[in-house]
Amino acid sequence: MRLVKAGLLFFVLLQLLMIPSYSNAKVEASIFNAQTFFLENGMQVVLIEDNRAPIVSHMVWYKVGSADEPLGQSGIAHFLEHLMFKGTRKFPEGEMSQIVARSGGNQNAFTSYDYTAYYQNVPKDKLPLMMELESDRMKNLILKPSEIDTERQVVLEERRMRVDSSPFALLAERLNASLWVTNHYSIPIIGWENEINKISEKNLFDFYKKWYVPNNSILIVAGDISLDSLRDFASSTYGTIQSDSSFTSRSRSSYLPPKVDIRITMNDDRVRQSRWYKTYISPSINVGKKSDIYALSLFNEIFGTGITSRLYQSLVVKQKLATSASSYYNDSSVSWGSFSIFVTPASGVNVKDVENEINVELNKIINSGITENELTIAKKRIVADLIYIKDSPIQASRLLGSLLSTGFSLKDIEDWPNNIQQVSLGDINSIMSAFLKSAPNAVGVLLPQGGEE
Amino acid sequence: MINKVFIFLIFLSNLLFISKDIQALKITEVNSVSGVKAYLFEDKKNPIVSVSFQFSGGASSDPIDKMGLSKMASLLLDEGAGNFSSFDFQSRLENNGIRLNFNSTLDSFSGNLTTITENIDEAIKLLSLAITSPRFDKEPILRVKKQIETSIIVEEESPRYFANKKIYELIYPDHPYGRSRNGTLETLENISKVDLTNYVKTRFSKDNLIVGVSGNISPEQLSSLLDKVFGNLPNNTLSNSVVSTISPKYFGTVVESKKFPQSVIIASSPGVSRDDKDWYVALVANHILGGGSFTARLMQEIREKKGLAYSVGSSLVPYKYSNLLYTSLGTKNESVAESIKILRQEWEKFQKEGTSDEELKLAKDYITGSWPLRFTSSQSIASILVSVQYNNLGINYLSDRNEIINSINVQQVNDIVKKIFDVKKLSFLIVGMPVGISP
Repeated sequence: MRLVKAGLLFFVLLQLLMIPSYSNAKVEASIFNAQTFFLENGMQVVLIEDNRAPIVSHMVWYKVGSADEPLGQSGIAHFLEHLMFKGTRKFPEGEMSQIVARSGGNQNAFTSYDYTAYYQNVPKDKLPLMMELESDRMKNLILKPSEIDTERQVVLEERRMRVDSSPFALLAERLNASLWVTNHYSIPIIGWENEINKISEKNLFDFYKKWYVPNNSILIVAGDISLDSLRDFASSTYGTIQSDSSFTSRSRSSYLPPKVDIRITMNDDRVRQSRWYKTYISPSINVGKKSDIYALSLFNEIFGTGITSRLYQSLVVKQKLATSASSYYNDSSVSWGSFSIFVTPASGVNVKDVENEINVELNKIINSGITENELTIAKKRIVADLIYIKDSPIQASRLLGSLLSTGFSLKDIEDWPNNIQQVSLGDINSIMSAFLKSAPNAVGVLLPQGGEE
Repeated sequence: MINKVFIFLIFLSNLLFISKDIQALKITEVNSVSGVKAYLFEDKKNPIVSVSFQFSGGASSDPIDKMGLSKMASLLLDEGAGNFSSFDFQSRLENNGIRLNFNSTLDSFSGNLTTITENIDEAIKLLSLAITSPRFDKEPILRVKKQIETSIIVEEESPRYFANKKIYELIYPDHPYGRSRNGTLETLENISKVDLTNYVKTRFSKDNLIVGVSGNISPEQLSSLLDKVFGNLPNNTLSNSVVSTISPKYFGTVVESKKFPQSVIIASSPGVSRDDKDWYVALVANHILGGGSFTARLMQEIREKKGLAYSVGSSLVPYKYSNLLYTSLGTKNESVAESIKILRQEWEKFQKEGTSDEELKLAKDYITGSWPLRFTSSQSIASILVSVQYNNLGINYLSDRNEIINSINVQQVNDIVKKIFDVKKLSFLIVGMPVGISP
């Protein structure tokens, strides 16, 4: 990630505060209006055509993220992402940034557990130039020791800003380590400081060579360009890069150790207000029963989305035990997904009292389920917003990229609204009851120094 | 929900989608029967309409013992209105995919309604109720008060929020701009239902209203919408608050000790008025020194060459009653002295040597080329149309703006740099445990 606000912020926020709710945003391909084809070297090309403005968004997604890092090299995916802006033989030392700026373009990049993406938003006549730059650095990156060391300091400052200066981020880092144990999601995207310090030029180059190949990437273009033009441009830029015949797609174990009760409590003298949250390991598009992801999406809507949700109405409106209460469900991940609940207790209220009420609400689901009326409304709400995708094709391309690079097929996306409509009351109630009773989970509690639960 | 993801994405990526050609972006002025004016960008492509509006007078007009009043009002208008309780009102929004939100800043109170055309009648009804007959029921008042109180407490935990709040206290002492716009635990307690009801009655009026609309709606349909939503507002505002103009105060160097591994540094100095004839020259000058692009001098010197910071930048912040130049960066405690030294050097160098033809060209190419990228979505276009009217830029501004930028020359930039980027006027606030800094 490059510029000030974007990049990892996105993921830290999603990871720590939101837990991506992409799940709710699957839409029909006809709503995305996406067209796709493959180059001969295996690179997928996706176009979301929109002719309202003479601009395009150009993104390349690599199907590699922090969860694909070798052990002991945490943070290397993100570190490499920073270094991708340093230069090649053809465009040395920051020349790319100059060219993009001169084109009136914005550029940035971001790293997640499961993908790394780079983008430029530019006037449409600059698209071929952007494709030349981006395809060049897929193959020809130069890593200079002095630049690596300077950028390492930038990455460490980024870690200090996002994690070390935020007690909640520190808590989440520990909770993820405990919850995921055997899974790579246990390791923070930005990496551990000592390992960031140890990453070598060779480590970086090996990682780059292994993963940055056309047959492990997706090109997504949104904006004012036709499929034919895009095909021409893509063939003469990305298309000239050799496919890596030795490349094998990532495969990750979904093994989890036997379930235990996990509770991480953190006292910190910088904390003024306690916080409570809980994360369950859940089915995703790739792991667990696929049909469960639709039930979980609807459950998330009913239980913890918005002011009218069960959780908010009970904790915040009726009982005044909390000032915020919400849930998030992430099904777009290569390994397991996650379902999380975030609550800020009201001042003067004990965390234990809040937690008891959350458990009361969860037990209501386990024992009595939701009602037919709730299900009907949730189905309506979850698709009502899909229309807005058409209003922002560039943002649609981000959503689409995150879905495609974590294992959704265009058909999965296209079928999503239908699959949502098919969920029956019996299904959702039995799925949720079993899920809430048995899914591995961890509770995190943040407290002021000397504060008690 | 998808809207949450989307809001977030919009925030991140300044993307935009506007009409076929920015030069030909056609804005129509619509005047309704009841005397409400709006700028309209008509876009038939999607069945979506977005209405942005703004009333002048924001948190800086809140009474000193009731700071936070504007903020509370902004959070309560959609918590019950007319015959609808909070729950009913929110259900109607969510079930119909209608997006409605309100926001207060130091100088204004604003709102946005975005809906699919199919539900526009329902959307209009809800917005109209929200701004003319909000209920301010006891339960939501109590709840929102607690929520603001909690956010005040939580923000104290973040070095960035804390530093930002502190800098306003330092540069605007004894002025509304220096007070907490969200209120304090004490002033929030003073705010009653009567205050909120009076707020709506006295501040929302046609004479201080600005409306911008984008999307699938004709001028005739818009005219009727304007009458339905805003037609019943009083003609004239009854608010009589007076805010004095103020220049950001020089305060030298202040250290606020907080136990964080990284210090947040904010440097303040006087800025430039949005009405100033040199506004655009200053904008270009700031872009060269510390604007949003990666090519800015501060980014290059402090981040790229030295690795001292992840984020560093400067921006011009024009308020109605004051103008600020705001520079900030975050660096480990051990590097604070070095970072400030480089910052000062860059300031001095810029003032002494000015810019070059090449550097100015790069800045102009970026600022003009990226202009269409500002029009993110229907909602972003609607809000830009509000800002065009608020700043009296004229109906042709969207197409004229790049010409203004392109006409700027090196001499103009160097002159404004001499005036604005004066290192002697820089004050520094450091929040953290900086090493080697004596206030």
